[in-house]
This record gives sequence, C-alpha cells and structure tokens, in this order.
Amino acid sequence: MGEAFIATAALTIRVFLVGGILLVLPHITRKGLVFGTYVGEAVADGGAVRGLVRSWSLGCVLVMALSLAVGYSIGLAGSPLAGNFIGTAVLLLSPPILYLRMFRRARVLAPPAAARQAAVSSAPLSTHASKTETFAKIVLAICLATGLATIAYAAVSFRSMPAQVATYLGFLRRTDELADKSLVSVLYLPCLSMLLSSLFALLGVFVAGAKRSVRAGTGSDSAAAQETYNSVQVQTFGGIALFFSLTLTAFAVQYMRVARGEIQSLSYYLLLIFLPMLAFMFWSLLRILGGSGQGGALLEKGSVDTPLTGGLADNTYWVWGAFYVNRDDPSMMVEDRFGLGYALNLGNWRAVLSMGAVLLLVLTFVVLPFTGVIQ
Amino acid sequence: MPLTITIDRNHEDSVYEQVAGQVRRIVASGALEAGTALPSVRQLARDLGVGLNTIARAYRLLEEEGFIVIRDRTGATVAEPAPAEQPVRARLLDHLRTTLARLRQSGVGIEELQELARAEVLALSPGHEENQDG
Repeated sequence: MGEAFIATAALTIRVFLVGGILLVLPHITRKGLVFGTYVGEAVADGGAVRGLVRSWSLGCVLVMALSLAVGYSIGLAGSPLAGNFIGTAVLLLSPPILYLRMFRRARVLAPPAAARQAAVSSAPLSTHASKTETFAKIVLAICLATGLATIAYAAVSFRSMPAQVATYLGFLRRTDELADKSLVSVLYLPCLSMLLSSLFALLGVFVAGAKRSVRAGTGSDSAAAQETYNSVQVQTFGGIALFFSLTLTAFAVQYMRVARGEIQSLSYYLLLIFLPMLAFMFWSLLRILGGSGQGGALLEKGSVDTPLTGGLADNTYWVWGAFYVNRDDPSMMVEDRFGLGYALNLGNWRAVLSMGAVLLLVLTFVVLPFTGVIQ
Repeated sequence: MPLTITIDRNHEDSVYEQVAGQVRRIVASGALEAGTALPSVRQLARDLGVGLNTIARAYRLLEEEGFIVIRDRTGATVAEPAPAEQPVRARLLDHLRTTLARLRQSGVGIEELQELARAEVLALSPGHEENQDG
C-alpha cells in the first residue's frame, strides 16, 4: 500500500510539473522564435503561430493524460513501480516527438526577411557579465576547495579506517554494503562530491560567459532583460553547486566517521538538507517561468517588436532548432531557442571538449559502483 | 539601460570598422562617461559572434585615436576627453575637407551635403543616444 501510494503520487506530481512547464514554454519564448525557428516578430503575432501553440498545448495535455493512464493502469495491475517507470518514460519521450512536429510546421512560416536578419548582430556595451562571471568563478573555487579539503581529510583518515569500509548507506542511514579498504573505495565519495558540485559550478561559469542575444536598436531593453535572465541562471547553477558541495561534503565526512566507528549512523540533518535545495530549485524555476521568461522574454517590453539578431535569428546554424553549430562564433554557450536555459555551441571545439571531458569524468564516477571496482 | 551596437555582415564596411565607428560615435556624443568600462574583447566577440581579432583590431584603432584606454587588467575604458593639439586639429580638419570634397565629387549635392553634415553633428550632441531611444 505504502509503495503503491508513493509510486503513484510521485508519477502524478512529475506529470503535472513537467506537463505544466511544457504548456508554459511557448508563452515565455522570445518573440519571433516559434518552436526553434526564427519566423520574425510580425509572423509571430499571426494566426498560424497561434494555431501551432494550440496544437502544442493539446498534444501536451494528451501526453500528460497518456502518461497517467499508462502509469495508473500498470499500477492497478499490481506493479506500481513499473507503472511509475513506464508512465515517466511516456512523459519524457513523447515531447521531443511533439516538438519535432511543431518545428517542421514552424519552419514553413519563416519568411526570407528572417534570413536577411541573420547577417545583423547586436551587442550591449556594458560589462555586467563580468560581475556575474566573477560570482560564478568564486562558486567554482569554493566547490573545488571544499572538495579538495574533503579528499585530504579522507587521505589523512585512511590509516585509521578498518580493513572493510562501507560503500553504500541505505535509507536507514546504516551500512548496507562493505568493501575492502582501498584508495578507490575510500576516496570515491569525496571525489564524486567534488566532481558533481564542480560540474554545476562550471556550468555556471560557462553560462555567465554565454552570448548575450539582444534585439537590434541602440538602448534596446532586451540587453537589460538578457542580463537579468543570465544572472538568474548563474545564481541557479551557483546555488545548486553550493548546496551539492555542502550536502555531499557533509555526507562524505560522516560516511568516513561511520567507517572509523566514531558514530553508528548518519545524522538526520543530511536528509533534511535536501529540502532547502529542492525549494531553491523550485524557486529558481519559478523565477524563470514567471519572472524573466526564457532569455528575458517577459522583461522585454519596449523593444519586443524589434528584430532579434545574431545567432538567435539565424536559422542556418540551428539543427532541428535545438542544436547550435557555428564554427565562426567564439561563444561556448548560447541561449536556447525553445526550452529553458542555454545550448552548447557544438561548433566550438573548446566547448565540446571541456564539457565532454567533465561529463565523461562524472559519468565514470557514477558508473564505477556498478562495475564492481569498489565492491 | 545599456547602449548597444549593431553590425551587419553584408555591409560594405568591414566589421571592425563598424564596431569602431559606433563606439567612436557613442563616446563622442558623451553617452558614455570617461572611465566607463567597455565589454572585454572576448565578451564583445561572443555577443556579436565574430572573431576575437576583429574586436581587438577595433579596440586598438579606438585607442590610437584616443577614444578609449586599454589596460591589461581592467580591460578597455572610455578615455578622458583630451583637447587636440594644433597640428592634430589641422590634420583632422584636412581629413574633413578631403572627405567633403570626395562626396561632392561623387555627385552629392550641396543641400544633401549640408543635411548629411548637420545629421552627423547632431549625432555627436550630448544626449543624442537617449533621445533616439525615447
């Protein structure tokens, strides 16, 4: 009963959260962009685009209904966990298909004038980004320093640890699995802690240095809107990185104390620390959905009808409206045309190499426990 | 509200000339006070989607002309207005005469020339950027 209730409730919350975000997306996108295509500001006001948005909304509601129907049916048949899993799979796999349908229909609406606009680029003559970048770099330094300190603590504690150490601590906060003491088994958690927090901090640094996509015209308010939006994004990544750093460092230190027999189990506060982190993530999401909009779309009031410029307005550099590939653009990250956040410039080898290396490292550490190396 | 500059890759002037020309005009109009920090070469190159060398070249030109000051650590800032020495003034006036003569020779009428000159001088008047936005 308990398991069935939790699985069903989790699926329901997930469906309404993800579905709600999907329904809102077309309404918080920069004017002129329609499902990953730049169609121009005039066309964006037309009936054809409104029809597309209606189709998208209807599709999203159907996906939500299908996800719940599949999840509940399998749950009622006696497998609530499978129902949760399959319902979630339907919820996450259907929207990309729906998006591609909308993208194809939007592409037809792009007039030749929109292509000409691609040759024009605007940039603010302000240095706001440097302050945001400094904040992001400080967060990265904190995450790295905390991570290194935890690794040093683990190294110092190595001798005093028993021959077998805990490698998995369950929900009851007690040791579930043991492994022979080795550098890998002891340093695994501190290293993972540093990597995960640094990954989010690094994303913050990348985002802080992202291209600022502003509309044409001197003094356009889209520059200020873009800067506010960028600050919110960097604060979100920075906040998550600091929460991760705090939580995982505390977890790693307590885990070592359990291993040395100084305490019997992990403290309750480690579980409670996740609540403010979830609240922070939800608040950050609301700041973008209801406050700034994607790319500061909701803050652009005076200049909303002036044309977008640069990478955002250039349909030739966007594959399926979602992947930005421009070898001539020194930007590592650019604002997403549809969705929330920023996209990697896949034409910039530095961006691809650095993100690829970090992700590979994190993936290696996440997969490591399942390979038997530390068991 | 931040001032913006706009480049057009299809324009006959090269991108670095367009960047330098717009920054020059904004600084001369007084819209940016002396000492105001400008975006770094890297940031402006990212925002405009052009190479670093293009922006560096524009900034070097502006520095040579005395519109901006480039420092290694703090980046580029708007230069203090400095009265031009008599020989420099004479050279600049000579450039102006040559430019006007070239325009006249290319078929631009006297009235049109006067209108062009008036518009250019107006663009340099204090507060022009803000008036244009409003």
